Amino acid sequence: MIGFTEIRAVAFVCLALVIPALRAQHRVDPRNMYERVWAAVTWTGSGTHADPRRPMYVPAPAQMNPASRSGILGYQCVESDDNKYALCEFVAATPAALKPILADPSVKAFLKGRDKRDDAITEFKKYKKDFDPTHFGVIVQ
Amino acid sequence: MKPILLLLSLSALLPITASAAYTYDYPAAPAGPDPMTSISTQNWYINGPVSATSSGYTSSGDSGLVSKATSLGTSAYEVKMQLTLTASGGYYAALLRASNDSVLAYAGTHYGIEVSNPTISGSSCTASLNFYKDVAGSVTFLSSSAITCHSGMVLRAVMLPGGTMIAYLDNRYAGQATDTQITGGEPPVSASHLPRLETTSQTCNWATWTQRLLTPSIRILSGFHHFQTAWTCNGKV
Repeated sequence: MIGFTEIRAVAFVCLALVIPALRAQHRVDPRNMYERVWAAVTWTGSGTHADPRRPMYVPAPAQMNPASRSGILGYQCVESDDNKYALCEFVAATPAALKPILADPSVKAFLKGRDKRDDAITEFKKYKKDFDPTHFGVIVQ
Repeated sequence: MKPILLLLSLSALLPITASAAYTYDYPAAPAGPDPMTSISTQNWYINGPVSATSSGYTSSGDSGLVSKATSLGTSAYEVKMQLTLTASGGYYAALLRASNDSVLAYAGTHYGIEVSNPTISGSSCTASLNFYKDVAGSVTFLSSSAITCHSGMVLRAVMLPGGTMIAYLDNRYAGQATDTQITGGEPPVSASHLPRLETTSQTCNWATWTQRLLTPSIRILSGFHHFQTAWTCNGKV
């Protein structure tokens, strides 16, 4: 006959086994959250404080509303070897916000989850010989 | 129930924690944290309308403080600062590889990691975390992302030798950018903190790990032995 003490012991053992497993479940890496596009785009802006040089499709800082979840939420870029292009990862909450980039025929864009990462890296290396993808991974909170 | 079972069960509930001690080269031991309640021209190049208050360093306009420390010198280091966010608006930044005439918006030559335009609404606070470079007044944004914020948040800005800048917010990785145009060295290498405020009622402060102490602090990355530092605080009334 199994007593109450034994049942409690079994219950604790089960907890000891299950809880670490639950804790070990990985949260989604924030560098993989939201919709993401890699694209080589030209720069825009005059380089002033109000109109800084920034990748095409990104509004001036004064026009960005950090409280808004529409539009481009974040981006990270490196300059091409000739400084003429921005090799960027753009992040948005919805695919619609990235549609202008994907629809631009002059821009070769790669949508995460649809296109191959290696293809994007190959494309970026045309612009920057030593492009290092490990430096990419913008986090949006 | 056997005690060992109870211990095993309870141990599963306990998070594993680790802590590490850091030694910062500014303020130098044993002087301890600099609360920035006064600004010495012996220690700082003062650019713009910088002012010290009882609660720390603030400014009514575009300005900056650049350290005159020359005991060490490298272009790789960490800068840590604590932001007091009491109202919406303003720009708070750590400048990296900065020239002595650097201010946040925008003069001199430097990289900047900037908490921009915090927007406080009730209990929520959102802002942008920007990485940019300023070369002789020409500004290029390299990275930007939306972040949550709070008064007392700690920004750690790390400059690595290869040109990668990394930001940590409250000791969590928050983003990075890489650029190699500014190498430091001439004019003298500097790291700086550049908060900018948009109302005179706000202050911007820096602190060490002990958040009760509002003070700037800099840690040199392992393997690097020389540095100059700069602290700045910009604002607009």
